[in-house]
Amino acid sequence: MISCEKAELLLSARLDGALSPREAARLEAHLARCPRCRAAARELEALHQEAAGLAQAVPPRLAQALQATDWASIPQEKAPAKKKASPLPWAAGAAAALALVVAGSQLVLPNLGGASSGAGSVLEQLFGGESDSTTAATAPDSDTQAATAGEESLADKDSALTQGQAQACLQAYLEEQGEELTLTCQGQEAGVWYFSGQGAAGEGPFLFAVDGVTGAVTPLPAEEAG
Amino acid sequence: MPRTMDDRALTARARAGDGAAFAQLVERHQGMVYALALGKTGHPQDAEEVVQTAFLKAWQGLPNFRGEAAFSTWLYRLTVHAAVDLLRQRRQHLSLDDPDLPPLPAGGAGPEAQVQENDRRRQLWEAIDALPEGLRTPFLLREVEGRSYQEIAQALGVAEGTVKSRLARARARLRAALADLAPGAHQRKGGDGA
Repeated sequence: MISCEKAELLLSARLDGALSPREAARLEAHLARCPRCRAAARELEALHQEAAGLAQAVPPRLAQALQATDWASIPQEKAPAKKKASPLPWAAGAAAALALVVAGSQLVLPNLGGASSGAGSVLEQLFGGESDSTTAATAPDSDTQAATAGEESLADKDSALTQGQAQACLQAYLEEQGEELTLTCQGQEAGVWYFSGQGAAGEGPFLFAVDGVTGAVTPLPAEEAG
Repeated sequence: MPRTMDDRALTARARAGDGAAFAQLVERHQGMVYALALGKTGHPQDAEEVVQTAFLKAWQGLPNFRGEAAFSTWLYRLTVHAAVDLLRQRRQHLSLDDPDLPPLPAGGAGPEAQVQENDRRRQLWEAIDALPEGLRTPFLLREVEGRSYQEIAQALGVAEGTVKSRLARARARLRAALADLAPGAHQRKGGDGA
C-alpha cells in the first residue's frame, strides 16, 4: 500500500494523464481504503477544472495586434556593458556606478558586515581581488574618492533599504527558489547591498546583490568570481 | 527556426534582438498572459492593454533579463506589474460617478452568478499568486497553457520528475488555500437561507 504522500503525487499525475497502468492500479488500491485521499481526489479534480477555466481565448484583435508587431523595430534597452573586469549582469542602476569604480581598479566597499575576514569581500571575489583590495576597500585613495563621490551621494540618497530590509528581500527571494542559505552581509556600495550565502551542507558560497531601492535580487555567478 | 525550440533558446535569440524568436515566445505565452491580465483587471479591454504593455516591457527589457528565472516566470511578474500600474492609473482617473466606469461583465448567467464566478476566479488567482515561483510557473504552464511535462522541464531547465513533483506540491497548496478561503466551492455564504 502506498503512502498518502505518494498517493497525492499520483493523483496529480493522474490529472495530467501521466500514470502508468501499474501506478494507476496502486493508486486505485489506495483510494479504495483511504477516505481522506478520496476527498483530496475530488478537490484536486475540481481545482483542475477551475484552473482549466482560467485559460481564456485571446481576443482575435489582440492576437492580430501582437502578431503584427514588428518587434525588431522597437529599440531594446541596452545590455550592461561587457567589460573584461566586470563580466556580471549588474542591475541597471548599479552598473554605471560599479563600472566606474572597477575602471579605477579600486574598491570602495564599506565593510559594514565586518565579515570579509576569511572569504574576502564580495567585490574582491568577483573581480579576482588583488591582495591589497581589502585594504583598498577601507582606504580608497583620493582619486577614486573623487571619481565616486557623486555615486556615493547618489547611493546615500537613493538607498531606501536598511541592511535588514535588504536581507529580508533576499530571504523572500530564496524562499521563492526553495533555497535555504545562511546569509552574511558583505556591505553596500552604490546603493546595492551584497550578501554571501552558505548552504547547510556547505554548498556555496552563493553571492547576491540586492538593489537598495527596489529590493530586487540579482544572483551573482560564483563561478566567475575567482 | 524550428518550431520545437524551447523557451530558453528562443529567449537567448530574442535577447540578441531577434524579433521572430520573440514573436514565437509571444504566441506561446499570450494565452497565459491574457488570462492573468483578465484575472487581475477583471475587464477585457484593460486586460488587452496589460498584455501589450507586458510584452512590450519584456521585449525592451530582454537584454537585461539574466535568465536566472524562466522566461515565463519573468513574464508573469511583468504582467502583474503592468496590471497593478493600470489599476492604479484607473483609480486616479476614475471617480465613482464617472460614466466611463467599466460596466459589470455581461454573460448568459444572471449577474449574481457572474459575480460569484468572478469572485471564485479572483480567489484562485490570488492563491496562485501566493505560490512560490518555483511551484507557480510549472502550474500555469501545465494548467493554463496545457504544456507537457517535457516542455515544462525544458522551459525551466529541470528534470521531468521535478516538474511532476512540483505540480503535485502546487496543487496540494492550492487545494489547501482554497479550502481555507471558501469551504465548499459552491457553498453559499451563510445567512441567505438555504
